[in-house]
Amino acid sequence: MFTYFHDHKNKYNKGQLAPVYILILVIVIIMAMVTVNLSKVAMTKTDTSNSADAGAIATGAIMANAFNSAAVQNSQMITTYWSTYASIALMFSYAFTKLTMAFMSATSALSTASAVMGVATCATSCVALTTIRTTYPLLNSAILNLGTVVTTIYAIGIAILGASIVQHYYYASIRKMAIKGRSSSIRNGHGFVFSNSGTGQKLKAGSPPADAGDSLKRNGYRDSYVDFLDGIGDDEYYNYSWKDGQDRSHSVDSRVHTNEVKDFELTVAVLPSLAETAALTAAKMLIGLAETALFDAKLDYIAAAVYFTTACAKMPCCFSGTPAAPACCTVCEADALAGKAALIPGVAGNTSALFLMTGAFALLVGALAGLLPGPTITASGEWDDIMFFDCWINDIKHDHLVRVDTKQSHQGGDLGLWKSSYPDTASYAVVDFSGRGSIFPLNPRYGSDIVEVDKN
Amino acid sequence: MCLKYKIARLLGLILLVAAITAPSIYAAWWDRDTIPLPSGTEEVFQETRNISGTEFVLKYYTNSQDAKAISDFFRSKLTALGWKEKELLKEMSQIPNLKIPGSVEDMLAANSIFERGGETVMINFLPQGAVQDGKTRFTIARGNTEAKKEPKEDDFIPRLSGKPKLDIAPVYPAAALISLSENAGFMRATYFSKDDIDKVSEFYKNKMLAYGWSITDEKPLQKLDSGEPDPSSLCPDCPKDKKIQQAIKPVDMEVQELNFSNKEGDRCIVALAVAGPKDAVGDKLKNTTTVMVQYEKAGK
Repeated sequence: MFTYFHDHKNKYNKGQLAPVYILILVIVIIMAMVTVNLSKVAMTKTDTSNSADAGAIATGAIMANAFNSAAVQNSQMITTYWSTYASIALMFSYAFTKLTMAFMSATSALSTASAVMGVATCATSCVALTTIRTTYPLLNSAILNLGTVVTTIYAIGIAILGASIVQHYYYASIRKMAIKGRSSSIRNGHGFVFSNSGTGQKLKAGSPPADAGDSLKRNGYRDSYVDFLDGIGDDEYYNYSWKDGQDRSHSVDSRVHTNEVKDFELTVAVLPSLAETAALTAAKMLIGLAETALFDAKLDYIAAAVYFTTACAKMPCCFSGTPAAPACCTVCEADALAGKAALIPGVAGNTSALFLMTGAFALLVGALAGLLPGPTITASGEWDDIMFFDCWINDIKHDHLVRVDTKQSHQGGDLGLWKSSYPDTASYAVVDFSGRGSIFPLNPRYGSDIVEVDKN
Repeated sequence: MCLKYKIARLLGLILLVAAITAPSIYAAWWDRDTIPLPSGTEEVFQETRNISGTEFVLKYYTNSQDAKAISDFFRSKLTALGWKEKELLKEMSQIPNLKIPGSVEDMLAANSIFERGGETVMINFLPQGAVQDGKTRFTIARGNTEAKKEPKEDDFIPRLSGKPKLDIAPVYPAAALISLSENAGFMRATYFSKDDIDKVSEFYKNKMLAYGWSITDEKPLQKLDSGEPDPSSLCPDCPKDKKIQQAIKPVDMEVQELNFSNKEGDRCIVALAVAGPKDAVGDKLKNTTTVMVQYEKAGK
């Protein structure tokens, strides 16, 4: 064509460059349209990436905040466990002191009664009487101290039940707060995705008119968009689609994913609170039996003392050398023997009481050891957890990752000669909110960082 | 020099000496009354609680030194100040056939009880390594244990002194405050009542209305069962005896939860619990109720 123009240029004096200009113009127009189209695609891609980044950072920051709050609350839970443990341990110390005192008194009474039993005869009946009488205050003291131990165990039971409920609700409120934090992070994540997606500027201002048409057309107005944003919850996926004035379809997707906050690892006391109650109840029962045994032993010792009193009264006659002496001796020996016989069940009861006290001791020692931090359990958040005595939250099981995926689809326009079309654009960002935080031991330094982005 | 002058001079001298030494005597007496603390000790909080019929002031401290160093510090300082240590572990070791597990032995060895003139000081350590943050947590409880009168059963309830700052819910009549935790817009208090759970539950259902609360949810009374307790895990060192084995019985727990809200959107949970042996009629714990009241301001 150019050769032709060149060969015949003398024939055409006017407008010979017009075709060239037209051609150039067409090319320029095509290039401009391609540029506009490409820039629009690029802008959409930028919006998509920005929204993914913003959504992920917002979600990660709120998750980090929720975990930091949980860590701080957890340190208060530790303090509550500590104060509970301290006051209960003091009560145990008191119970041990009193039980030891009771044990020592009952042991003294037993050794006294056993000694009397071994030597009581008519000749020693007066000494036996005086000696056996010394067991009364010992047994009284033991019984009194055992009564105090029972009341102390009752108080320990109150403290343990109260503390296990408080710790359960402490854990429940931290759990609720962390779950709420996750919901809030997802909601805000979606909010940031849509706010940075450039959707608002593509919509018409104000509310849709009554005759706006179907829901997609109504969504083409900014007020409908605001309503949509207000209605965003904690679902993983949200989509906003609308049609513009030229009936072109547009769509923005947001997917915010972070694992559920549901598995809480709790450090619980060695014994569940119901097992503590069982141990305390058993100890109380054994002490009750020991009290009864000591009381019965005291009655037996008193009965023995009655016989020793009679024997002691007959003793001077027995050793008087008078004719009545042999008869007196027979009665005296018989009473001394009866006294010894009366001591037998007493000594047996006394021994049994000591044995029962040892059992109660072992149960109380076990109950105290049972309050120490023990196994780790994964709590469900149901009421069954209340049976454990929670010490603190060991960990909230989570990979500390947030992933946000965004996608935008915009239908091109038909310009007659030119029909524009835009490819779907998608992007994603991953945030790690581990920071240096830990729930236990307390280190509220969770912080969010973008660790992976869409490189396309 | 006349006698009067001499006496006046002597008196003056005595007064001077007294004036110079009085502050140090007073300080020495004051020091004698203060429990010395190892360096680096930080007080975390304190509370006044009834323990076994005596009102004790419990102060909670942390220190970076280990429990043994702190325990040794108190043993030497308090003994120097005239406190006499009660050797509980030594006394307990005299009980024949009583096996004390290592964990309890360590605990009792670190813990100490000191007595002086009717006063008792108990030092208790949260077991070393329980909270793995490098801090030793210990408590000093101090109270006057000189018995003025024989304590009654009610005196043993581990009652906490004080009451919640927030008057947001009724307190069951004659209920004892057992624990309290309060901060901005939040309160959790536990009470103990000698009445049964149904009566206490009815009280809260009726009386909360007067405080502007209305019930939003009620978790019905639920029974949680311990199952058959295993004596070997519950008391591994118990003597193998029928009476002892028979004393270990199954226990259960009854729990109920009432949820309330008010016009402001604040929430209040009232949780009620009772625990005790399943078959025990008339068991003291079985006929009593623990109540937890938890208040959360809207938006917390």
